[in-house]
Amino acid sequence: MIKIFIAEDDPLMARMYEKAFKMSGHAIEMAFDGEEAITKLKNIDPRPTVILLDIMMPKKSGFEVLAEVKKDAGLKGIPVIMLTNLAGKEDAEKALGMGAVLYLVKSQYDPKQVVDKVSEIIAGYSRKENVPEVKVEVKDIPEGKEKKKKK
Amino acid sequence: MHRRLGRRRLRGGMQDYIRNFMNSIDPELERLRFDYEEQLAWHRARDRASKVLMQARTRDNDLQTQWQLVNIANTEKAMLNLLEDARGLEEELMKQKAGVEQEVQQRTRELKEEQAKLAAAIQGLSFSFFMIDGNDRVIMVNSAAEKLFGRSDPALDWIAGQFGGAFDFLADLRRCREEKTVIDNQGVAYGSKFLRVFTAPIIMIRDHEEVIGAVVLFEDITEARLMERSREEFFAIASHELRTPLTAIRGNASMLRDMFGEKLDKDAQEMIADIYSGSIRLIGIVNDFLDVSRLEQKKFDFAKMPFDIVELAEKVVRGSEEMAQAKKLYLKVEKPADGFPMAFGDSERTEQIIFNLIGNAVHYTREGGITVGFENKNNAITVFVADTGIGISPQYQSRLFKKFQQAGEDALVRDVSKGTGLGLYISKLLADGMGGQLGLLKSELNKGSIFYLTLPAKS
Repeated sequence: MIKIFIAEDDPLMARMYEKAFKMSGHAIEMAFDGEEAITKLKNIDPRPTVILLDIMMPKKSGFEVLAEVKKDAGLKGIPVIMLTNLAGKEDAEKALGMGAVLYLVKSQYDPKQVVDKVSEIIAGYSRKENVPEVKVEVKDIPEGKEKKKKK
Repeated sequence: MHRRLGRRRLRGGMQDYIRNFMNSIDPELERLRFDYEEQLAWHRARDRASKVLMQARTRDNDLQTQWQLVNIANTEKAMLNLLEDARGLEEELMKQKAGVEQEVQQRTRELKEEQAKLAAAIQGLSFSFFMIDGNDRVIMVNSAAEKLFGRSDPALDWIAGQFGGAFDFLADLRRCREEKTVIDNQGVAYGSKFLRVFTAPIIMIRDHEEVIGAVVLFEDITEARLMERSREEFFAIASHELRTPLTAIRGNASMLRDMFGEKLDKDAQEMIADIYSGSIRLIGIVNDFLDVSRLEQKKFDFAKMPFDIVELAEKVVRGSEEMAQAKKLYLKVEKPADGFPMAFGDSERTEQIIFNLIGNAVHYTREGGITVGFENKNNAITVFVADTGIGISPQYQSRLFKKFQQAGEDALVRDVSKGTGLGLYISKLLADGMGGQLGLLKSELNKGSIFYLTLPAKS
């Protein structure tokens, strides 16, 4: 059962993506700040299939959540996609360097496009169970950054 | 003869004999007397000669002496003349020396004045000034420097120590001297400040270039830095803050369209479409502003890779076909011969530029269409975008690539749907940043325009 985990503090954005993912028939788990995200991630069962992280969040930033995820044995295998409106190349590189598989600038995509990309990632991951070998193309739309990555 | 006289003639002719003897002696006597007189004469002559000789000698000596005396007199005269000349020269020399001394004094005064002016100027500088000699000693320091370092007459070692490990001041100084080069360090941390450390060698040209010291300037750029940082932050935060509501508008409009589009009447559908495209445009503007801010601060990273510009242009053309067809314009690509070389630079940014050029071309063309061409020359690749549009007036051409070029009365004629007017400005900054060139090749009112983008070919 595919479960999408989204950490997003802005209610406008949260509502929008919730609708978009529900439309595609996925189950969703939401968190509204960094700390809540970490707590939930460590405790929910089953683990989510994919994790979407906003960066600018109260209490803990998306980067901090990402770091926690990568430290956790049970979570580090789950693909993490940054979903943010921070459009800096340095931020994208930092996230990808920390292990995120995708860095999407929200304003550059329709919600449906985000859903499609997430589905792609999930499909890529499920083909190779637990040995995520996802190759995503480098495509720079002002700062929607994805990475050619082999984990 | 007298021997013949023997015994026979003795008696009777004694007198004859004596007479004969006497006669015979006479010649002898005569001869003697002659001899005697001759000798006497000779002696007399000799004496006379001697006397004459002596006289001559004496006269000669006299003459010589006189000659010598004359010589001495002449020499004396000459010496006196020389002495006089010498005295004259000496006077002249003294005069000239006095003149030179005066000049030297004058020059020294002037030099001192210049030095004083220079020293005053250096003292008046707002940034710290050090002049260092060839032995690493500080020979000049201004008050700003003393204030910065909180110490009068700081020594070089001490100054170097102030920076801790982060900045090797002495190494820079050494390199500046050895390589005879200027070293400009922006942003050296010093306590809570940021300094710009500028080191320049003092080079004297004698028979060869010799470094006789160095000048070191410290400029406090803390405020400028902070302002820059806060400007960056401002832009980052502003664009982030603007993006979120825009994303909501875009996203919800697109979902409305997807989820409920068919259920709504045409007008409602159009309204949703307009909300959507409005949000897209606004997002583009925000992105443009951020791009410009970064490009202008030179904080833009360009990829440096070879890529196929023909393929890229074709991709952009494909993406612009709908836009062109909507206005019934043709949009074609004149592909070059096979083996066209790759371009070298950032393919995404190049795509952005070509998209901007084609977008402009479609926008300002009412009939006819757009052609995309290519050229390879002198290790550079050019892509041309030619349109049969309304053209650009000469007076307007000069403002084309400037910021906000849509200002002016043309803005009324033009359809301001092109956004901020930053398109060509950004494209130009991008092109420049990649080491390329963007320009207007030519344009004629009501005939059309040709824009070009040149990039280095992959070597």
